[in-house]
Amino acid sequence: MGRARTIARRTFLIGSAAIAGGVAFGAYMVMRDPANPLAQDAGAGEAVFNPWVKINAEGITLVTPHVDLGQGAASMQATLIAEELDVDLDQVTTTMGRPSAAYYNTALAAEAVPFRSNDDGLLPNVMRDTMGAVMKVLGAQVTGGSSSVPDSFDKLRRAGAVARETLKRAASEETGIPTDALRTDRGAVVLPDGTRMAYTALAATAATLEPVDDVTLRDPSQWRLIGKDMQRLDIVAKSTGTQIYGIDVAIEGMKFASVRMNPRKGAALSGFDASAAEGMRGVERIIGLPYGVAVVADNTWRAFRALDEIEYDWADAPFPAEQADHWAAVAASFTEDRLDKEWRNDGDVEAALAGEGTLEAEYKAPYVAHQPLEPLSAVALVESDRVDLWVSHQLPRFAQQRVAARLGMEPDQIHLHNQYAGGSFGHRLEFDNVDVAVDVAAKMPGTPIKLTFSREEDFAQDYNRQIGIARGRGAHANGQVTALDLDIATVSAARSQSKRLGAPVPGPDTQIPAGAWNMRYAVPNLRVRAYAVPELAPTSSWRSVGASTAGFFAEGFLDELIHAAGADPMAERLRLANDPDARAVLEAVAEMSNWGEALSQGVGRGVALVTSFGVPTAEVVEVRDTPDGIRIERVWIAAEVGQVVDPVNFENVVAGGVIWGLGHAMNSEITYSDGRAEQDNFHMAEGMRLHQCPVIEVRGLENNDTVRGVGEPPVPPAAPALANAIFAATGKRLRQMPFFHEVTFA
Amino acid sequence: MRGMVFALCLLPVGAVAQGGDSPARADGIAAWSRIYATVSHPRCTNCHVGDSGRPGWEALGYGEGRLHAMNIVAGDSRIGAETIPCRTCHISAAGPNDTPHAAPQIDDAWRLPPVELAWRGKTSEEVCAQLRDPERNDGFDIEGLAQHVLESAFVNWGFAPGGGREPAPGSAQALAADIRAWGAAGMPCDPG
Repeated sequence: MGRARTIARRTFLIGSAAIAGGVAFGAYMVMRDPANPLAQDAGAGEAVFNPWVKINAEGITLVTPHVDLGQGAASMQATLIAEELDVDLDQVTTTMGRPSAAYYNTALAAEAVPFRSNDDGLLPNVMRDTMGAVMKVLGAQVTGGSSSVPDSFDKLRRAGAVARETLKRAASEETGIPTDALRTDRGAVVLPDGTRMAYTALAATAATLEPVDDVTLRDPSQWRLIGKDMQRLDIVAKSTGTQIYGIDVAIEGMKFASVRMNPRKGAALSGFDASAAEGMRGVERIIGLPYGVAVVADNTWRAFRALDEIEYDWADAPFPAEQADHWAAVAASFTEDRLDKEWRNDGDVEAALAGEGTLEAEYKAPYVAHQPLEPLSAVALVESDRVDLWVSHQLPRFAQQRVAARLGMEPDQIHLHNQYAGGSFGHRLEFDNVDVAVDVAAKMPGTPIKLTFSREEDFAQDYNRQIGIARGRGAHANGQVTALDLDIATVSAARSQSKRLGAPVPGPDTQIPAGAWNMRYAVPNLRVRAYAVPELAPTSSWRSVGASTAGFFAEGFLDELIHAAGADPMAERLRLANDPDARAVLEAVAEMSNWGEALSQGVGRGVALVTSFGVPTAEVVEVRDTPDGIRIERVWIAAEVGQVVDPVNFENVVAGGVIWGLGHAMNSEITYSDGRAEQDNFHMAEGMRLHQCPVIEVRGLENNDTVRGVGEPPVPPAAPALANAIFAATGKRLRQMPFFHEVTFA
Repeated sequence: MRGMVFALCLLPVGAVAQGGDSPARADGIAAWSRIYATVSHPRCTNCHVGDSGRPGWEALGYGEGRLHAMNIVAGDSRIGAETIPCRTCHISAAGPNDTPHAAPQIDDAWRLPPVELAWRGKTSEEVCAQLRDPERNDGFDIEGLAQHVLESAFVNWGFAPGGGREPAPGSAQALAADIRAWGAAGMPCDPG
């Protein structure tokens, strides 16, 4: 499947590391072998087949290095290995493993280079490969960019196949029966007479062999697991309240800490007076830090309460203190010197706009917090020669290197134990919790420090989604859209984030116009220009990143043009669609929703098509205008992903993305006053609730031979489809998120 | 979701005074105006809401007309059973309620009153007519109403909500006394 298929076998470095009673098999697409992280810890009698498979006498362990944030990554990765290893998921345990260059992400590169993801020309592929090489050098172990499935799809099946074939060879060595006569089934090699030799019993012999790297991945027709409905590994634990998340980690002897950092994000602590907190019950230590104050107590609540009693002198914000000035800075950025890139210029936009039938509009998207239900946390234990860190993180290797640099240690002395997360949406790409936990633990060596952010602190310290404005001009003639000119100005979340990572991304920021410049429409005269607003408040990646704002701008304004032309929103999009995948997802939602059927009074439908992370996704939203407000009744959504790994989880992730996208478009924004975020808890950043939730019908299309991820693509079309539906129902055009300022939702 | 004793005897509709106001009737009208001042306070009207099932968050510093945040809806069950039970945050045990913005706790199951008792946004006359109608006052007679306000953990919390919240004016005892006085005067409703 996909590009990995085309990589010659010789570029796979299949190495083996003989260890006491075990073996390590590596399948790395690199010329330099990152040490197999499993081999370092392998004990006697353990066969470590590659960075993803470890078998010993007790059982089979599969490593799932893409962190599970609730999207089901652990189950997905285990499934891919198990498919070829011939085990069932009830026979294995999984672990997220340790940060390692072996787990670098090869899929993310596709989004990082400025070519449309459906552009398969020579130059884009050269660029993607170049980016891939950069990824290898960095050893970037990233969970994000909807890349977990594409990164894993070939690699993990191959890891399972290598281990399986090597186990067959081990059985052949022990029995003298040729491997061709052996088969595998449910964790055992099966001899011709039906005798079963468990993998666990063969591990020691397998450890003495060269790994079998000449493996052929099975044809999809033979798949036992992929594409079939599955029960996620964590479903019972999550349904019964027994799942251990990062915030639940308990280490013997730990103390409980919390922190108050300057609410003017990024600014210093000028001074503080902790006298009122010093005698409080349970308070053990009050630690001044350059950026704030930490309290260590005998429980988390007492640490929270003590922080409330401290008086702080905070330095001024390094950005405009008032929200109006943020908007003004964005509005002032449509200038030649801030033009980041002209991404599209098809036809002759200026000429087309000089005629009749023109339209102009301005769209706005606010800062938005990530606000996962699980606030930031980390447990850190600092000792003289090692650091242990229990945290849920999307960039564990960066975190490891960062901690090492912070403490003057080597990265391999930092043992990061990645944890399940209660949501992230990009929140756990940052390092504040890691920094604070380590800073506090370093002052109390030998004592595990459990740091928990209060909800208010979690909101105050977030790196929000980019703020932006788009100015659209367009033209229509003879009932058709003839020109679309979109100027998009946002702060660059990619630059803000990569600067903090110490690896500034060069060149134009692909994310400012993402979801707009790559629209799969053949508008005869199409121009998309991106303007980079100099950094205001710091920003970061937020589920679907640029497409969450530019997709709203593009699909909202296009809808205005279509209505001005007197055309049908679905029919005109289908007419404009210039890509078979885009057409297919539009046709799918048209069919699912029975688009065009007569609707009762007060009911309206809107459609939007946004492509992000290579996944064209079409969404139809149906709303009803009721006396209590707008009621979102039904949503139909289709996405082209190449291959659905688990239909049940696919539906859940997509429906969750719809709810998340709609909820934030309805209710959520972050505004600044006195340099601080005004919203500090969920009462001021409300999610969609169960009673508001529409019926959501999901369809995954598998026409394309490139496997894609679907964590983010359902989000961008949600806001414009909702706005377009509200226009259809009420005649009111919403051009600024969140919509609650103008519309009441029932 | 009554949680209260259903009165077995229904009240006759209050006799209308002949001619001008008798002293007793004037006292009844005065008592009613004090009752209305209390029951129309946001501490009461935040929960005495209709079939929207949306509790209010007025007089908490969030402005006029503010509804309970997090999009909370109590549903037809009035206890949030259909979506998220009220007791998820409003624990059914008396608490100090000394933390601003923390969910108030009382020694009763947090819930909305029945829909028939909705009076948020209603006039004095409308609420008055409602309260003397057992069909729309949860089946109480006057003494039942008086006992209810004395005993109800909700009503008592409304006079001492804690956490910096503005209390309803008066006290449970004064409200019960006014209810009895209003009843003795024949439950007059017209403004006088």
